[in-house]
Amino acid sequence: MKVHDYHQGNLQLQEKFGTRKTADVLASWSTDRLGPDEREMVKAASMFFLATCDSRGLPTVSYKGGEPGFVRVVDDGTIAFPNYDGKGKYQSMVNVLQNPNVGILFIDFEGQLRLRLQGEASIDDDDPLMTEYHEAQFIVRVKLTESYRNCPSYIHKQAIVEPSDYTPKLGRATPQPEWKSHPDLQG
Amino acid sequence: MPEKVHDYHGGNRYYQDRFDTRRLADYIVEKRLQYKIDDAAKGFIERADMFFLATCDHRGLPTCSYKGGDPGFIKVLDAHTLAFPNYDGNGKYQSMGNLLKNPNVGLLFVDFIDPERMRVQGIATAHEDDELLDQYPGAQFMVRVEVTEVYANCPRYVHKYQLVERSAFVPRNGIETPVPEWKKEPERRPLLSEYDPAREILEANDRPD
Repeated sequence: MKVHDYHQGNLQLQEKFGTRKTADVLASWSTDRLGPDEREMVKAASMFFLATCDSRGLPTVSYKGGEPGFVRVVDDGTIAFPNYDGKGKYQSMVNVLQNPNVGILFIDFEGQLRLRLQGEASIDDDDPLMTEYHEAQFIVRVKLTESYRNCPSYIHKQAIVEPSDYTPKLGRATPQPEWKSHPDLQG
Repeated sequence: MPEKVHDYHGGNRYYQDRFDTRRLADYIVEKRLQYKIDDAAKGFIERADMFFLATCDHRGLPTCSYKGGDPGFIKVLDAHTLAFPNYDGNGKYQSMGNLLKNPNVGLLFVDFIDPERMRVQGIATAHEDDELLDQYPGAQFMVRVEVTEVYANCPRYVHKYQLVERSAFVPRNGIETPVPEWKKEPERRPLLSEYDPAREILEANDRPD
């Protein structure tokens, strides 16, 4: 199943706004492989946005940040990323257990580029990639079903000032966020 | 009562117990989750020049889309309602089409300049004759979201950026919105919607002076 197999909701608006032809051409350009430019974009990314949806049909979008390279291109049709310590709800990750479909957005604010991926995610605590990530809780692999570019016209240009200091790096203890020392959370 | 992502289901509890975060997860619901937009959240939303929108169709396929505009393009109408415009896009109507099949949405606001994150869950509806449209030149319709959950996310993994330049393609009063490069390509032009204002601009450019 693909998001480019347009459903009646998509088609209704495409007809209304006269974009059916454009939408069909764009659908024909979507592929389940990463090309050279797409692989480079994934490897260079220090963040992406992950949409998941639970069994009740409630979607959520979450931000995932790391060091450039934290998302691996395993092969042309598979990417992998680590789950780092978060706020303990395991919202997105648990949604994946119920519904493995994910929507991923890569956005490069400096180069003003967007890449969208759709795929099926799986989670493994014993993934061989675990040894390559410092402090990862488990690894998420996504088998791609769709890869496509988005027009960058609405992206505001932003320049990096300082990467997050909280992304786990080898050879040092990761700083702890302040909220974790709140008295209500001890014990 | 609409369903909430914070009504934890069995899967959430499995991982919360596996990594011993159940106390933390319960604390967040008890002390941090809000069911309305308070003044701080309103300020944050109305300063935003972008947000990320998750929708999911009836087949269970979620998608994540970027929405950019000028600060103030998302309006907080009251403590339970926000609204944003739909601007011309690639014509697929992916997110907006999904809303016709499943109105549940997840929104993420990230401030990269002063790292902060906020999440909003709600139920969305599209309105083509919304009175707010007068305030949004170039908007096709308005999306109103009935907010069910509002919560902050720890910004620790957010990288800090500075704004270089806002997108020139956001429709603004009194300014002709530029035509994106892809619409100028000869093989794409015949595909453009008959309602697309870019057609007229491109045709005017074609005419000799």
